[in-house]
Amino acid sequence: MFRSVIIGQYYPVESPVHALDPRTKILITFAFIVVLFVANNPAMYAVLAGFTLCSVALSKVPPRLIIRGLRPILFILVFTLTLHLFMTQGEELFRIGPLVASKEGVVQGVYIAVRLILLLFTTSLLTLTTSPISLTDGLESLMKPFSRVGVPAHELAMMMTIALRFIPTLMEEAERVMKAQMARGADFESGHILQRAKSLVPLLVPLFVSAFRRADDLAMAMEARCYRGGENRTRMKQLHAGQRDVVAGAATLLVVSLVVFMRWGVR
Amino acid sequence: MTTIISCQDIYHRYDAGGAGEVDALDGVDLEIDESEFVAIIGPNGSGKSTLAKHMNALLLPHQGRVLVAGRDTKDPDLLWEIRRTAGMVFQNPDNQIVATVVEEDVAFGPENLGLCPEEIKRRVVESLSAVEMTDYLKHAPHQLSGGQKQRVAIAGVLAMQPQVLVLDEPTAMLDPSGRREVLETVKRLNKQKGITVVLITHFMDEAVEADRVIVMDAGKIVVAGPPREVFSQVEVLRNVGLDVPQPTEVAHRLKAMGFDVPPDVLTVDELVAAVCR
Amino acid sequence: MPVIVESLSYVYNKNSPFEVKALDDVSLEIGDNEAIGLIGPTGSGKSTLVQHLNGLIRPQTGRVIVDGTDLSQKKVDMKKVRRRVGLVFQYPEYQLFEETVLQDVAFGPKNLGYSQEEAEQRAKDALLAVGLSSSVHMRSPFDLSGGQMRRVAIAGVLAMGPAILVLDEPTAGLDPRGRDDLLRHLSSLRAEKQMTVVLVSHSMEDVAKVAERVLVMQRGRIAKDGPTREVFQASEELEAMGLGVPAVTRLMKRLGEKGKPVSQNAITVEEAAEQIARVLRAGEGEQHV
Repeated sequence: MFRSVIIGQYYPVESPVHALDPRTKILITFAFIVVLFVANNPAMYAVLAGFTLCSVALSKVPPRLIIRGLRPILFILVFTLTLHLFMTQGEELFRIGPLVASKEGVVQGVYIAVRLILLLFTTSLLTLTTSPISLTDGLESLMKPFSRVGVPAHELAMMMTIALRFIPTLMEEAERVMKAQMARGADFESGHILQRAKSLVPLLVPLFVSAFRRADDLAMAMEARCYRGGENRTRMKQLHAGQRDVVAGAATLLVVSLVVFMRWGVR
Repeated sequence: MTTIISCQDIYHRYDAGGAGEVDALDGVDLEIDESEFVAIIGPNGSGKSTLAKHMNALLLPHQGRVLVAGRDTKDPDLLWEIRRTAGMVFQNPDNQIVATVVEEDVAFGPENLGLCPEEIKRRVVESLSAVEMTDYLKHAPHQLSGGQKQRVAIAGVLAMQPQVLVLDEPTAMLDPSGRREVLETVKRLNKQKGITVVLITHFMDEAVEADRVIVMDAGKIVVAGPPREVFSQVEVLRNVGLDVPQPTEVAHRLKAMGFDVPPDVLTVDELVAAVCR
Repeated sequence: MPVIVESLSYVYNKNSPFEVKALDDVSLEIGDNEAIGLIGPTGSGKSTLVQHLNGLIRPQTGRVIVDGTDLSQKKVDMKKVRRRVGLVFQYPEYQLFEETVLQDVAFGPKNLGYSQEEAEQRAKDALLAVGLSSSVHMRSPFDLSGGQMRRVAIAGVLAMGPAILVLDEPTAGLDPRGRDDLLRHLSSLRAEKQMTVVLVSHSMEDVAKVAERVLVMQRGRIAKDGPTREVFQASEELEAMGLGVPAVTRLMKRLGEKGKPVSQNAITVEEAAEQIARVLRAGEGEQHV
């Protein structure tokens, strides 16, 4: 049976953003999110929004995919907006029963909403332009200096890689077990919530048992290939930060400095 | 011929319980020469898998010793060199592949050895070419068939440039075409590159390809010798719970019926020749 | 009452770039008390066909009728179908999950609506039928050997009392003794309960031992459907498809080519030896004249 699983949201296409070193992208995203919470007037938001839109354009990712990323938080957006609208004290705009909508409320609500939207756009952009493996490699590289203070950078990266490797395999196995149990009359679909939770036992137990066995086998195979942890281990793939990364980093630094200056620079 | 693996009167006690189930070894002596192709056969529980795991120090004997290229497996300082020398491929094709892309998985071994990136890249290309999987460099493991996965596993071991390739029932979970792929790859590596091969199997059509066949039962070696010699001992094999190739069995029955048929035929062709004499 | 498959076709991932036609206009009938071998190269559609028989996959085009129930209808009593057609997947031991062997084997009957006692009795009977003694009943299924686990899994399906038992590579991964044991149990089960057994297998020798009728699949179609001996006669055709025939069948064919009057019907070692003996004796007889 043909099986093609696309993990995560990665959208493979050639673009300047895709070509960046994953570490650069992770750091930019991080910096952007931090500065997002510094902004507190329309001008600053405009600068940040402009930066985001430029990045999206450069990434050659279809905008609809990025907008689709908003779907999960749509409810939160509306909820937050409504909350701020009615909970903030200020000049009354209109009222619904006992609830008073204020002008300040509108402003606050919109600010928060814009913040959430830009936050989501940026993180979506990160996962759309960086494959899970690249992300893992980038994170490992960034964490490595901290391994001296006890952060298990290599182990975490190894765990992520193995998890990613086995997702399609485990999905296939889950399907197989499900079919085997259905052939024995198991019903995963009908019944109320508690019944359905209980009916998952014949699916979950075999998967767990099998996962432990896999782990055992895999550990043995890794040892047989001389794996002994991250010490003295080299990597075939090397991350190379190049000119592009310097440019992207500089651009980000500019934007961040600008917003910080706008916030605290003019007194 | 130099001995590359030497098992000297080794014992391994039975370790009861679920997933850690391991069969006993009850006094096994075995010498394997460089570039030999040895097949080890036996029913489940005979200890063949246990024996295989002694060859790369995954298990240590409770008595006796195992030498791999002269190195004692009990010496913890020599452990990694031994595992580099004797690479092992296991039964489950999926549970050996650690990376998300073939290229990276084959690189895993050399990475563990601390080699430089250029050398690793070179070895990856070389190993994949040796198992004829070069086209699959950038593939994800779940896109491969069982036979292809096992070949990638073999490449992953080859990338460490071992002298011995130990394969523990590598074809047990494969379909016939996958089994053919793996066996042909292993034979080619043995003949063309001189890599010593130790093949644990319960498929007789694989064992007949070996230079020497070792038959195990209940932790002991029962019979050993060239395939022809071993498989003609049909009664012994039957008692141990093993098959013989069908032509051999037919020849055996004919002999029992009083016909002058040589008992050591292994293939259809040989039996046809014998009958048409 | 038989299983009837009429012009069944099935396409995976329809209308996507990954479209694959797994079944192409398949028609066949399975009757009571048959022993059928289903062979074919990987990807020929065996697995897809077999999953239609117990309703795990619903027909896209064509019909599958089990015991008078048309599986292409909207509302089908699946439990009734799965009671009738038991399906044992490859490496079935991977489906075990209960705390004791008895409870696991009773899972199937309980799903069908039997009471706890009835389900346990069925479980006990099924375990006996696969050659497992009562000493395993209260043990954890994960404590058993691989071969025992496999038999527990098969008992789990048997306990549901199917009229047709389909097994996908039941001997995969077993050593020769385990394989022979299992095949023997299957044969006696069939005789006792008058069940139809469908054996999906890559091993021609296994099929030759157990099956009276062989279905050969290739590229989603049924390429051959006939008595075992007849199908194995066409050894070149089968080999061209990438399938083998039992070594003895090839042997007899070669001897026939060399002018020896052996019957081409032999598919087991015993038959082959008898045939060759007969010919050799005749030859000797001539010489003594």
